Amino acid sequence: MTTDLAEYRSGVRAWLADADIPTVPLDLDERFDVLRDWQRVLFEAGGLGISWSKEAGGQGLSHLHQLAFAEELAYARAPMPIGLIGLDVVGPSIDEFGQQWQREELLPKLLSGEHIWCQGFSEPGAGSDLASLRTRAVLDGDEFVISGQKVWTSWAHKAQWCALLVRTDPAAHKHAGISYLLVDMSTPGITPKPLEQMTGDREFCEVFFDEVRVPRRNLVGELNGGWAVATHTLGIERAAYTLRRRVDYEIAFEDAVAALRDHGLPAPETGLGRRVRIAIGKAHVALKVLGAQTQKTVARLAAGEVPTPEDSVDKLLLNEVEQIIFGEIAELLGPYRAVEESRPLGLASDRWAHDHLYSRATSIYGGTSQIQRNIISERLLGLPRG
Amino acid sequence: MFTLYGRYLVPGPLLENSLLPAVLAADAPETARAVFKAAMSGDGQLALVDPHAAGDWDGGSITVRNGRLFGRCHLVRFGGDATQLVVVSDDQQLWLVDPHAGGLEMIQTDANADPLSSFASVGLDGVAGTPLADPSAAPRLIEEIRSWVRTLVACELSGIATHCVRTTIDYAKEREQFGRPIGSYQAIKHIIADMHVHAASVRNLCDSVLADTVNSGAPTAVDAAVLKAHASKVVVEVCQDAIQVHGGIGFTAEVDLHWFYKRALALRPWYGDTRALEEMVGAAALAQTTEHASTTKAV
Repeated sequence: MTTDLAEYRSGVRAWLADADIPTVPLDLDERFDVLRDWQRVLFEAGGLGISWSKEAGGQGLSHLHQLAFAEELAYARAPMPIGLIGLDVVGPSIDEFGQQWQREELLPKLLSGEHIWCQGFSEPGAGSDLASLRTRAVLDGDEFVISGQKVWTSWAHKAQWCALLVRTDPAAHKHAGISYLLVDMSTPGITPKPLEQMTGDREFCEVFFDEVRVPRRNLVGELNGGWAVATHTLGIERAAYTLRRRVDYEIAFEDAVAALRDHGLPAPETGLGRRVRIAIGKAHVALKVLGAQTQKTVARLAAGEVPTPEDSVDKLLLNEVEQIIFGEIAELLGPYRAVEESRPLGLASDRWAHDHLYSRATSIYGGTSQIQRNIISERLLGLPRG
Repeated sequence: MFTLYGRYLVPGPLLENSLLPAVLAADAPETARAVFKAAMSGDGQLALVDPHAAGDWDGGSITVRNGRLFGRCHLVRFGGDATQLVVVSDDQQLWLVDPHAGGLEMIQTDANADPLSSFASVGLDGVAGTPLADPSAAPRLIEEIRSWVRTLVACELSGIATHCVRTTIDYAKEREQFGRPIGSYQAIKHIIADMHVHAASVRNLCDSVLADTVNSGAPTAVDAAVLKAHASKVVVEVCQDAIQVHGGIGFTAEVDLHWFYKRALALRPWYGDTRALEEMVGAAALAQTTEHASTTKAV
């Protein structure tokens, strides 16, 4: 594959035009299987780990190539692969901080989808204040013995591996006593339990660890140096996520406009006609605002200026834009929102009601909007700490 | 430039004097070109007589009969000071009109709430005008003028927001209550963080729309409407937040915030407020298929 971005993009587009793009089933188990097969297809086509080093099984190209690929996938209405947590977060962490054996043995299977990864960071008592996590890992000879509980662990019940943040030095200052461990999910003592979300999906889990024994060689980075590993990749993840979500919103917006147009617009002079124009106008403005913002994000990514407190500006705006777009579209469902499988104004009630509900999560996960505002005001604008 | 005008609240018909010659001079007749050249070098002032400036409100109506102009435009910025008028008639034609021409009535308003402009109402009763463009080219030029006005007004609003955020940060670091700077309280911090995010979003959108004009020469009608819809909404909110964080002093004329706020409120409805422009953008989106935006193309 060529490294010229425009040529690379058209190469991806040509490949996707001939690819057998799967339809994503609604059922969660079926969805998982389909998207895992899709991951293997993408892997074999060289479409995964694009910005990773070749030694790690990647393509050795830039983040912009990675982004171009993700955009083309979305424009082709092709789904993302299932193992995003591994691809976006865990893989790059292992590539940057991991040991040789971890890179060689774990990364190829992570890329191909043979191993699905989950990420055990948050805990019932450690959400916004992640560094206060209490899941303990005690060294016993050549093994860590882990006990505790994690939550919001996506796909834990389906994953083969987990990247886990654990407390290895309870006496140290809270950020300084944390380590980053790789845990085989088939190890005895691990119990994942799916949580049902308000959307009806069940991809989040609670995960219980009861004296789980993990070899010391599964440590990533230094002992008690886990915070640096975890935060390093968060910046890249955040920027990549922002860019990918923008494309998702654009696709959603286009789908909504196409549905409204195919169905036939309400008469322009009616109240409903005006509402449709204003709702679509608001959504379009929001989309453009995010588009202009992400041009700056791409420039930062290209210059290697991540992570920075600017990422928090992106995240706040991303959340706001998602909530405006899906809020405006869902409002056009009117009372038919409550009627499953109805199509008011041509809009599929189930899809838009689902996406609207999901948009409530965006200002909570990955650091709530309140946490982002603290970061912006203190680290970017220099306001005094409270 | 216009973001700087906003930051420092620079008064005067800057928009009219720089924009109208830039868009119109190339295709204008010889006599008009001399007028534009003079206006650009500060010798003479132009005013734009366009009933469309009032947005959803009644801005008047100007018709053409036997080559003469009839009707009224209720709101003309700097109309009273103008040495020449550029008139937009309802049939989408452009005219250069002498404010002292026979049949023209200029009524200057005594006072107004926009600190940086004066307004006049212009009545036309059989006024002679010089056509400024070929009849087939005029509609495109009018759209270009309106798009540029929206874009440059948005840039000015962006400058206002930048000033308000800066001033508010400085104030929140200095002003103490309960023994500490008010900027150390989360309730204040979060307002300021949002002000910053929103001001930055307007700046970025201005940059993006202006960057696109490097190749195209002018912003598209939709891009300009999107930009001004966003700027009008967000910048007024930023001004309001600035006043809130300043507390009592923010409501007084002792600090200069009120000038910025009044200017933002005056610019908000000019050539369409947020609601009107959102509706226009929505109608355009529903009428045509859009091109995919690529974030990487911009690099």
